[in-house]
Amino acid sequence: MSEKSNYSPSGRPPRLFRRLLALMAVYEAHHTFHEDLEESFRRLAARRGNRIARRWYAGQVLRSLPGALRISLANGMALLGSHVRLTWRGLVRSRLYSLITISGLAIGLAAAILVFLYIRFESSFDRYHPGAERIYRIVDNEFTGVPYILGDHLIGQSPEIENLVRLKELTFWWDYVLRAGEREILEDGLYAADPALFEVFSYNFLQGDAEGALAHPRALVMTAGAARRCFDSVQVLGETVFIQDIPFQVTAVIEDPPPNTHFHFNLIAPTSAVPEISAYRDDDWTSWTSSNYKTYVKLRPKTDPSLIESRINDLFRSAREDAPEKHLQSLVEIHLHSQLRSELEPNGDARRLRFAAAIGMVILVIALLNFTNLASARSLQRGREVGLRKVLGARRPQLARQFVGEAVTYSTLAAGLALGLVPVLLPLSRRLTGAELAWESVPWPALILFLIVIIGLTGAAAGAYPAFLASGFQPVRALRGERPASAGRVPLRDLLVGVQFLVSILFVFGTLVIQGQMRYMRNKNLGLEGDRIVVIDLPKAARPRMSALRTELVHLPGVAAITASDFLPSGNTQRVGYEWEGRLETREAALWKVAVDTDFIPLFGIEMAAGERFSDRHTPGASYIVNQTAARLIGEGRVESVIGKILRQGTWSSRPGPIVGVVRDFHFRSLHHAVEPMALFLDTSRDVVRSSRNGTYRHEPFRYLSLKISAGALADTLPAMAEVVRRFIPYAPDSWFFFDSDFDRLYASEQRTASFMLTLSLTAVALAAMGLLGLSLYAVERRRKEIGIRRVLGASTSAVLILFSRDFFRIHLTAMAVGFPLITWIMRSWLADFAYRIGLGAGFFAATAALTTAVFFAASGLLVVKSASESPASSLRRE
Amino acid sequence: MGILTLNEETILIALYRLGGRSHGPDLREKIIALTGRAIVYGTLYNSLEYLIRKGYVLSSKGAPTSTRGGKAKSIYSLTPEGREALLETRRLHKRLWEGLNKADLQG
Repeated sequence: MSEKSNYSPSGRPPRLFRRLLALMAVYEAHHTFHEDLEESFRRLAARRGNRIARRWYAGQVLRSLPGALRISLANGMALLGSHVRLTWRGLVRSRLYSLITISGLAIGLAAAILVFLYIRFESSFDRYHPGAERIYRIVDNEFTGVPYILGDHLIGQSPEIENLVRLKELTFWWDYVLRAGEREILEDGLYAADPALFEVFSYNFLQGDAEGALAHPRALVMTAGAARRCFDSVQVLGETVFIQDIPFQVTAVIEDPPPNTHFHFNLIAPTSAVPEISAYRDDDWTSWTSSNYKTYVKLRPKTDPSLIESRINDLFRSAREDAPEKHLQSLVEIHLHSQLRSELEPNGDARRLRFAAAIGMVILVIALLNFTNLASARSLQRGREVGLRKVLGARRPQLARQFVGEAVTYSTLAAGLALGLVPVLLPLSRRLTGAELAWESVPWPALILFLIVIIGLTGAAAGAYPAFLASGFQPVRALRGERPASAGRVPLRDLLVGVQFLVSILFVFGTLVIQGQMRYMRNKNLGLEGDRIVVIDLPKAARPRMSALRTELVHLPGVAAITASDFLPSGNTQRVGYEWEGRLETREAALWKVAVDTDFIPLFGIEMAAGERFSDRHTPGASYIVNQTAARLIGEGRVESVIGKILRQGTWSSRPGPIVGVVRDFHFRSLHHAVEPMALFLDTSRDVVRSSRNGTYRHEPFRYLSLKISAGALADTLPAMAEVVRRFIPYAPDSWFFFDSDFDRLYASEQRTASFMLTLSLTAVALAAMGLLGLSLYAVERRRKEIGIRRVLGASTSAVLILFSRDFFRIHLTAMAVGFPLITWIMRSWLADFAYRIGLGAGFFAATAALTTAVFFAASGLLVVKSASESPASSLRRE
Repeated sequence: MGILTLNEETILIALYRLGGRSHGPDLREKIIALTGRAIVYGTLYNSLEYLIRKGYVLSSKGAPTSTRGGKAKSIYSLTPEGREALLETRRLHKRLWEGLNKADLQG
């Protein structure tokens, strides 16, 4: 074989594997892998032929890879170690800078983590049930429930359905007082469900098991919480609980359902017990028109839900003609996407989630911008060091690596600090979001991954920019202490600062407007007097005894007046159809319906506009008072003319009767809504429930008892009142509240938004201020001599200050020019939701400008003043 | 001074037997001849990395060999410290085997 034949194509090592050698550059320093392999290859080829040699070559390369990888990793760690050491020295050397940089990023990260936890929590609903993605709820476009009978028909003819469960919240329409031993308890969350509940959904059994839990019609499953409330123990298997005086036997105790599910119950009875304990003995079981049962189906794997949908609709069409179109709603989407009527619990809102995500991103971006800004300022400051290193032979990638390493170290520290901050901030964010966020349920793997991504991002963003900038320095000029021409005024940096200013302006303005609107709503004259009013909300079981309760309470010293009603000016009532004398239209007009007794109007301080108040002279159930808006509607503009007109209400609760008076409009819903027509009718608080449908007048017992307490008597009267309530309603002794606080409840959502915005504004402004402080720290350091010289030449402190702040002011002005139109537009659309709202006066703009200017000026000027007021001699001598 | 692993010891002995100076392919073949087992280049290099860091072996670029038409290869040479380490290891082996004989071991 000639020497030459070794160079024929087949005599060469395989190309692919030769290429792979490039991966093992780590050996380059001490070894000549390529050449060594080549030589051995040739020897082997000469001895045993090309094929074997080629295979050998491939084997060598592949089997060398893991070792090479290990070595590179070890080298990388060693390098990182030296960077960390260098970074730590730098960190200790400039403490203020480090503090600002790290804590700024930590705040941003903590906010982002909280938002992340919130989003994860909100999107985790019901996913923990095995096979959750195959579970669906049958709904239509309006209601969440379907007829009971549908389930029977559906399961019989659908082999694709693995399981089906129907459930119903009995406490949705009625209060149930349970008797357990000696104890009487008003328990919420009493459900009825098919036994399949425990097969479709997943629960942890503490006592008993899924099999026998709902097997017989008198079985009862309790949650641990309910068991403790009833028996002070969870060892309650076999105990008896009376519901509507019917004995039920506890067959199982389960752990309380986790917070991330769309329904929470305390007790479950089998559906077969419903006819006995339900308050409404309606034709629940056979009707095709009711919608009382939430029905869930679990489909077999790979079943097309539309198949089941069409079968459901076929079933409906064969039973009744006008059935609304039903469809299957995925279980895991219920919490975020379902806003139907009669949901078991108020669901979340995907929009709110997106808003939170956007806000979290904004805060994080500000923090990252800050970080990048500070890092770049610092890197320019270190021009001399970089120059020296370049002279000593450091290559550009090496320099870049140092900057990136530094940024990564800083952001890792920040991430650690953020993780420490999160548990401290959790209670606050629970209040702001209303979500059950718990430190114990933090999804660690996801969170760690998130942080690693962030750290990598910061490293790339905050490291690469200054690294690129600084490593491009001309060593000679850098060593002389000169900065590159653009260093003093990096436009990109101006832009970054500008974005932070802009976000701060948006948040501050938004917060001011929201607070302004809140204050306006709190102070607006509502047309009634709500202070010193205590309201008792009676459970249904206690309502028939209202008169007795009232008699006791009225004799308490300190109770100035007392009234019973089925409505509070802060609460919901319903609109029903009305007709009146001389009305021409055939459709009834919708008026808000309110049943009150004679004392309601004076107790709430509602003023009369015409006619007279209710008194004993008027017939209960057949006397009306309307508000001005209704009077304008009925009297076609002439309010006075409605007195004496006969009003007829289209329900069973009252008879036709005359309008005896007109009250001034008062606000009875949140100020989102304009005052709408309302009719109050006189009723008496009597003990009997006459619920016969044959009569013309069905009296519903009043729900609320409102007490006006004399001025100064609150402290003495409240305990006495609470004692009476406890005696009358031992099973629900806490059913009373202050009217004022109930009114505030109408604005709970706005209050939450307001606190949310306030927190965000503070964070955004704080971050921006910290960034400015850091930037000015460097500006001052860099130009300390200049300041000294200017002072020697006679410049005043304020002149120096102006010189230094000029740039920031320019950026601030630009940010305001961009921000004000934007935020005006946003806040206009927010305010548009309120029927009664404030205007966006010049005051808001002035306040925003003043506030942000003051903060930013202070942040950027603080160090300048400090530097300018030190003796020029000392600053000039420094070198 | 750290104790050499068997791998490192083998490399040093092979290098010593090659006159204290060799390039990769010869070194590898010597090791195979001595132990009767093939060794992957990567493994060889990793051990050499350690020996170089410890100062037992010196790596340098040899002159390009015209006969092979190739580029320069790394030449490994045993340093005085390497010889010392080898001696120390040999003494260690002696101490370890002192008073033991084959018959006992075969039991």
